[in-house]
Amino acid sequence: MSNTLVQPVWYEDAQLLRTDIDEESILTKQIDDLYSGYGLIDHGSKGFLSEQEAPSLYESSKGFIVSQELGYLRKIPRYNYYKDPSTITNDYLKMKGFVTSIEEDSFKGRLFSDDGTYELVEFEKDSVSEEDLPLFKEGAIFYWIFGLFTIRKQRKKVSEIRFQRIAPLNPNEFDSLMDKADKLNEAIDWD
Amino acid sequence: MGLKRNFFTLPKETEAEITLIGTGGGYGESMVVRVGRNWIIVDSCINPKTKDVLPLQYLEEIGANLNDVSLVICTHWHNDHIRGLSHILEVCENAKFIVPRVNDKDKFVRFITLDSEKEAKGGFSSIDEFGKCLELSVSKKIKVVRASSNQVLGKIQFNVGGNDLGEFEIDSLSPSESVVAHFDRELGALLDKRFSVVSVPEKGPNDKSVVILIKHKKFSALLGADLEVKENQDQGWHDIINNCLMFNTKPVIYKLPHHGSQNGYHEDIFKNIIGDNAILKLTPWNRGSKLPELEMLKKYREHSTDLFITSPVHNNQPRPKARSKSLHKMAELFSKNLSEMKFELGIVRSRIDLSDSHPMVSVELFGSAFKVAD
Repeated sequence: MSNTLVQPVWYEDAQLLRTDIDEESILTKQIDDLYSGYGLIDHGSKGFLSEQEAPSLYESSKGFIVSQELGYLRKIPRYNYYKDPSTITNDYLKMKGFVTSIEEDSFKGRLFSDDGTYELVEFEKDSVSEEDLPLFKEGAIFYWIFGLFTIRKQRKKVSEIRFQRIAPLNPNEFDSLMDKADKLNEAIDWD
Repeated sequence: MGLKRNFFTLPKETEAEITLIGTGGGYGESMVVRVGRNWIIVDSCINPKTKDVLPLQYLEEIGANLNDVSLVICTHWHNDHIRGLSHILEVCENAKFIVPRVNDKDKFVRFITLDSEKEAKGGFSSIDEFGKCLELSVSKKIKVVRASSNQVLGKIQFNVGGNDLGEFEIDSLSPSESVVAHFDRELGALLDKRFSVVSVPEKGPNDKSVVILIKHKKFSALLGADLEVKENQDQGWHDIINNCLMFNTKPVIYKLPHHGSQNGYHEDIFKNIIGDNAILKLTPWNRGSKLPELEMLKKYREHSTDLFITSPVHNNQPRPKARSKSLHKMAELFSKNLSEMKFELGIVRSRIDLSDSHPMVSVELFGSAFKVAD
């Protein structure tokens, strides 16, 4: 295997790593499901992976996130307490919502329930983890899980807020959508 | 809907109808209008629990024929005005689809397609609903009409039993030329949002809202959508106050814009257009900021004592949704505030017999709707 570098794709202030290696769609799905830690994030500004590292990283990505420390990428285990088979979920709730406004010390959001109704919520700003700060903006979608868990035989009250990553379009996807839009526009019977 | 018996009646053949449907909380609003034998649906909202499309449910429950729906109007593509709209287009086979005007159709459809894709990946905005409507317009061969200021959207002859009762005219009073031109320039920047990894619900289509005027001889009704008063004199309500050519009588019914908010009010709307003592209808907004504010309700009451709202504005102590005791405690422990937004269906219905030489407008209230008193 060659040792050429695979350049990740960078997007604004949140650097979502997308290696574009095999089974991209599966990887994308994992990124979407980042709440459970099944994703790849790079906190660095100029990180890269070697081809040698990328596939192994992909294979072992379940339960890991990738972070950059001291200028290089390394894998950091991320413990998914509520997906760990040894964890007992006594009583918990996972909700999805989005940020409606950011105040000085807190932020407000709207949280949706399974029955289609929603609640207004306000959290302290320090509820947002450091790794999610680049994604923390008005309109950003987040998950809130809270409840009572038995983790390694210890009962704990847990609350965690995680922000959703949406894999950006690659050029091919973008072009294909533009073609779809142009065809639709031509077919519409405008006045 | 669990409403009074007299709810389930069609208007008389000679009656026009202007009905406002609200959901409390900010889940949405819609209007249903009867002109001659035709129905017009302005915007759409759903019951968040059952997903029933409320204007369709209303029409079905009073026994209306959905083939008589001739116009489906999307005043703008905010979540609380659009949910269920594609279903309406699907079942109302004879309707034209009215949307706010855009000149650069290519860019606009690209923008809608891109944002729809983004929403499909897990967003909350319902712009994909608008995308579905455009796709349906192709598959169902529905004409898409772009509405803007000083435009006649349709004329409907009103004949009952061989008697000619005149003609209805449906006009759009906005968006203004200035807003349309500005949006064309804005579209380029919106397309660049494709690079964002954060899904951000679209902001700001209020200024593109289509305000509708329904006219029949001396009767007219003004449906204010969510149009706001902008600083620019040729945008928003200023443009209507200064440049509208469509009024020939003072509207008897006025659906207040943008949930009766301060930014939808200008005294010249009443001074130059509405006059006093019209029937005023509105829906509240209970998300975050509460609308209408008490001060605005007082102001509107100065213009008319016939002020009706589809459900209360909740300023009471916020309460979270009912859950198990332990979850309830933890929700309070981990959040600063948590309050449930309740779905409350309220309907303000007006009917007017246009065969009368001095027609009276009736107001019927259903569900959580009520008249605002001092």
